[in-house]
Amino acid sequence: MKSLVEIADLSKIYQRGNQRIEVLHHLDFNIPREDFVALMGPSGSGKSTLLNLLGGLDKPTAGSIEIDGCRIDALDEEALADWRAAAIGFVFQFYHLMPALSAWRNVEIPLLLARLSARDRRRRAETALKLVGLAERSAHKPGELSGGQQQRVAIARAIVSDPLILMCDEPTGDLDRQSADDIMALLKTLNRDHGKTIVMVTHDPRAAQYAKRVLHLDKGTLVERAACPEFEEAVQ
Amino acid sequence: MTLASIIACFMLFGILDSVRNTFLNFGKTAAGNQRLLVMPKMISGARLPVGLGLSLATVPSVRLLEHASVFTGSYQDPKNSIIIEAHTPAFFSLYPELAVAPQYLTALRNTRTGVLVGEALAREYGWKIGDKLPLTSSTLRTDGSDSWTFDVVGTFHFTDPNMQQWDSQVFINWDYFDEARALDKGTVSWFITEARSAADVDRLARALDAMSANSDHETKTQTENMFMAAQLQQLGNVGTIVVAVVSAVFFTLVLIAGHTMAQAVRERLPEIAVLKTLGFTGPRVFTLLLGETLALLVTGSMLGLTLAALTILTLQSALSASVPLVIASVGAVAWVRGSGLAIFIAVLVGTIPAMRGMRLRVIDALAGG
Repeated sequence: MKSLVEIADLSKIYQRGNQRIEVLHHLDFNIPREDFVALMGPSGSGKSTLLNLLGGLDKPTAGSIEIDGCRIDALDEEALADWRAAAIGFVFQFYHLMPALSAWRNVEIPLLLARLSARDRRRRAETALKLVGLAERSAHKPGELSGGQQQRVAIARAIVSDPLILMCDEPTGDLDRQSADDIMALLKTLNRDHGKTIVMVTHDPRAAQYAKRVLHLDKGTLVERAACPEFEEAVQ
Repeated sequence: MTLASIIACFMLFGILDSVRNTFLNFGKTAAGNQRLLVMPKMISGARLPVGLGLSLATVPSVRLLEHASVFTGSYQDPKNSIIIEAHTPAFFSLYPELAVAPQYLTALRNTRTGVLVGEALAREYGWKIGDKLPLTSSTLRTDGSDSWTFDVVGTFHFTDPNMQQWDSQVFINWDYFDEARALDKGTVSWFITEARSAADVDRLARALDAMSANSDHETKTQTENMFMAAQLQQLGNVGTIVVAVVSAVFFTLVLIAGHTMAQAVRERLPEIAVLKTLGFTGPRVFTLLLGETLALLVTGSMLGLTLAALTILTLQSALSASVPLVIASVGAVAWVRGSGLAIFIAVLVGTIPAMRGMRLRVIDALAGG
């Protein structure tokens, strides 16, 4: 069966003046549907660059990225934006919520790009908030929520348009241990019970334990493909 | 703060535009383009001999000719100054904008001491038909008295809004006035006639002035509208002053709004990056940001113009009794101009920040956030 994500000979080179910085070197790997992949590695290893490429936020220097049959490296900026809206949900380390908007208004934002009535948008946003356990805080603004709650709102925003993949960039990086565990448990539930494919960049080995697989990047090379045998135990 | 600045600017714009319109249209009427005032050429306030009217009447195409004298009086208190115009019956035929009942005109003709009072003045002082109206004036009577007593025989008002400031004066019979005054008998302040068409104005004016050429009472004939404009010109070029002030105000507004919008986009680059990450295209982000600027400017302009309209309404009622000038309301043209100006400024100050948002590279902005 064809994988959801197929990466072939993927390279990314940044040019800084006369300096040529090769961030990713000829990567080849696949991500099957309903996988939960943790991307780990030291700073500067290329984790975030890879996540940006998979999420259609940046373009590779060479190689191809095919997601659900779509060669996203060949799309122009506008088509890429439309593709992101339909296929990808993003979760950031610092949540990046709109401070002036309530929780449900924040969750509604991706739906503004869809042809939905205001009532449908509201209904879907409320459903997403319920799924992350924040139904009763839907009218609160980000400033009135804890860090963990804000990240739940961000996850609700990421899943509200039912994307193919969730791209999570250090989703627990700004949270205390308890909140981090709660967020990882939520992501695990989304993966296990709702079949969401998740790609997560993390420095945190404890967070990585929630993933089905861990990919280690070092100096732009995929140096290790580690399964996570303790996964089931760790998240029980 | 920026919204308050925008509101203040457009409020000022609305008020100054009203002031400009007030001066621009003061006394101007459609008929005023053909009504001709024959006045002393050299000295403002000088008088012309009433006999000159006989010569003027001989000018071909002069159909109606009236002469008038003007002086001021006061009612009960020197502060209650009233303009008194003494006219001949032809005056009422030359002014179709003057609404006065036929029976009042008849009563004025039949009552030598009769007076028609402006409705605004009658309302203010509670005058009624049949009342005796005692006025005090520096224009003395033949017996040396400064007291003039008239019989109120009717009221009038001007139907043209640009002439409503004259609702606060009174009209008396010129024959009675000339007979009763101690000095300057047989003189008039001006003659009034009308041209048959606008095209005939220059020719007729030259012909009328020619009747007194090289005399000691040479005249200058001009249309009523030109005369009004010249009177206001003596106060300075109000239009230019207003345009200069409004330009300075809006230049400041452009700087303030421009700085605010640039800063707003700069501070929200991570938010804009998130929008683009979620699938908002560059043009859509551009539209959102420019739309935000437009909403700010248009809302501010509407609030400012509303405040200006309310201020003008307050001024109109407060000054109606003391100033012989009806301040123009904030009209439809001001609203359209204000909206246009708001849109222009929004585009001017919003385009560059919106383009910055449109061109923003998501990964750079998120890395910074």
